[in-house]
Amino acid sequence: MPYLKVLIVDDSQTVRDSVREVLTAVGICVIEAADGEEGRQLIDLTPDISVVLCDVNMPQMDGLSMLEQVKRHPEHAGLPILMLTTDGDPALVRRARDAGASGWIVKPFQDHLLLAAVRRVGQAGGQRAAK
Amino acid sequence: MIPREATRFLPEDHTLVVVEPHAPAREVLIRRFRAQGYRVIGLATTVEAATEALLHPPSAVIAPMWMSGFSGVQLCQLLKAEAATAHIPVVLTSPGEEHLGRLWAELSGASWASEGSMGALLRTVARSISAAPVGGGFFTILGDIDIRDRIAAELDRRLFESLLAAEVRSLAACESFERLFDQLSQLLSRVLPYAWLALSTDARDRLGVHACPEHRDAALAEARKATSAPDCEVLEVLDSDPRAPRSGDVILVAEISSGRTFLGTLAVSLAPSRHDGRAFFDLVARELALPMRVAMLVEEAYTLARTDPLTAVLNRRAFVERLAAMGNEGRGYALCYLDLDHFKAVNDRHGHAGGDLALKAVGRILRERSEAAGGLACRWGGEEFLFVLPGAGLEAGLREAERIREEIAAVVLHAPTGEDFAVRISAGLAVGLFSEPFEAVLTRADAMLYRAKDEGRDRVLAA
Repeated sequence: MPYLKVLIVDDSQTVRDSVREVLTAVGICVIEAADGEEGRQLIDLTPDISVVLCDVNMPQMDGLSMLEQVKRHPEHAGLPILMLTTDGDPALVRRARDAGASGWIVKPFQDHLLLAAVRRVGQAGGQRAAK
Repeated sequence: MIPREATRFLPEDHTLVVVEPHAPAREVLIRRFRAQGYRVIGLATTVEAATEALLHPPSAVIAPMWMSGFSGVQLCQLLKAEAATAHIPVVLTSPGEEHLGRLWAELSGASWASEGSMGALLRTVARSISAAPVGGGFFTILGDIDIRDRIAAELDRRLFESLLAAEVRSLAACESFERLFDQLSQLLSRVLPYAWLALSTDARDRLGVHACPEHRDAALAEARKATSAPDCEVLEVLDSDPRAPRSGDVILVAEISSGRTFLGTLAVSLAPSRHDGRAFFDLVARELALPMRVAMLVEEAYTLARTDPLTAVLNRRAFVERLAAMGNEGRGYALCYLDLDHFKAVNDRHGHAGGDLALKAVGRILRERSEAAGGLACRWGGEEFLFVLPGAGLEAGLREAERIREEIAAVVLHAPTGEDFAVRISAGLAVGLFSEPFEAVLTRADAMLYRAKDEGRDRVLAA
């Protein structure tokens, strides 16, 4: 299993904690940001992030705006970003897909599905980087 | 997304989700597809298939059209609506050569294959996958959201859209721009709470605007800009249905066209939080083409049937109708009976094109005067025109008739022969009552016209 570093961007400490718990249990490294602006800065400063998990409704900068800004940056275009949110509105999901998100996960999540999703996009992203 | 045709089609590269409630039949299907090289996930229900397809978007989904629980058609509707699966081809099967089934499948955005022919099914699946775009691997995990609720919500949305589309199309019964816009605003203000709604017609000669009275001026200015209709006749619907404008409102604009014919522009000012607003707005703009076309054609036919094509004043039939309708409004009117002087000589000297120019000029001035003075202008026949001024007595009628005579005489006409010329008219004036027969008034005016001709033309005489 390759080394994975996951950034969780969510304004809820509870959600960040639960994601950390699930991922660190299997040896995945987790870093945190509390809003879109902080998340964007961390992505710029941390070149070895493998996967980003990102909430939608957040103060400062919302998740979809963060997604769109990060994906516009050529250096981060291949970085897998998964949206993690309570909102399941099909129009928002379409917007995320069109902006280049890798997936949409509705909270509350099942631990094994979250883990499988992170591994799936993290490994695909790792292969992309290696090519 | 890149078209799949760029690469060679190999079943080994593709995963299929195959739905079949009956276990032995499912096994047969799975075996046949695997024999071709496909990876196959066989499932018993459409609910399982939807969850699987959202989580791991396959290359194609195959399901029976009709089955208990959610049908294949309903599964297809959900998959087409979800971002993760919208691009995935769906193949629906039903027994025999069921024509209705094939149509249903096509209308749902799916392909169709007969349940009886495995060969046909394999070919349809391969063809559908080859023609489909490659997805980006985007997936959806629905958490606690029940996929059944998701399907039901999607079906409700489609049903609502169908009903809304039917409501908009039924506006074709309005048959006039005025009624169409009034009813459209009543319907749309209930679907999309807006600050204003605007609809302009193709030549941008008319603009309908629906706003609340307190914000009329701002709404009108924005609506003119959005529909690129800066200067035209405005139909205002002012009531309390539209809300006050707020900062951050977004303006949506859509062209309305039927085939290649551009019919008009629809615009609305909405709160940006309505992210379903765009979808409803586009639906309305699309469905509005038919009612707009009908209204424009009916109005055009109405105008053609009531207007003299050369001079654009009322024809005889329309004039008689309008005059009869005025009978309820007042007691009487002044009638001016005009005739071009020496019209035969105009035709002889300047040709029929020159004669037409003269008739058009008279028509234009009569139209201008009828609009300015609130009268009726009509080409009664040949070079004879009628002008009616409701509520006018002899003196006011005479003043108006003199003015018309002078304005016509002042027009310089350019004959195709290169020669400039002018025409003069003679006119007879009579005052009539709505209670007496029109023919009697016309006879009195005609007698005065005859005398005006007799006394040397280029004058107005009154009874």
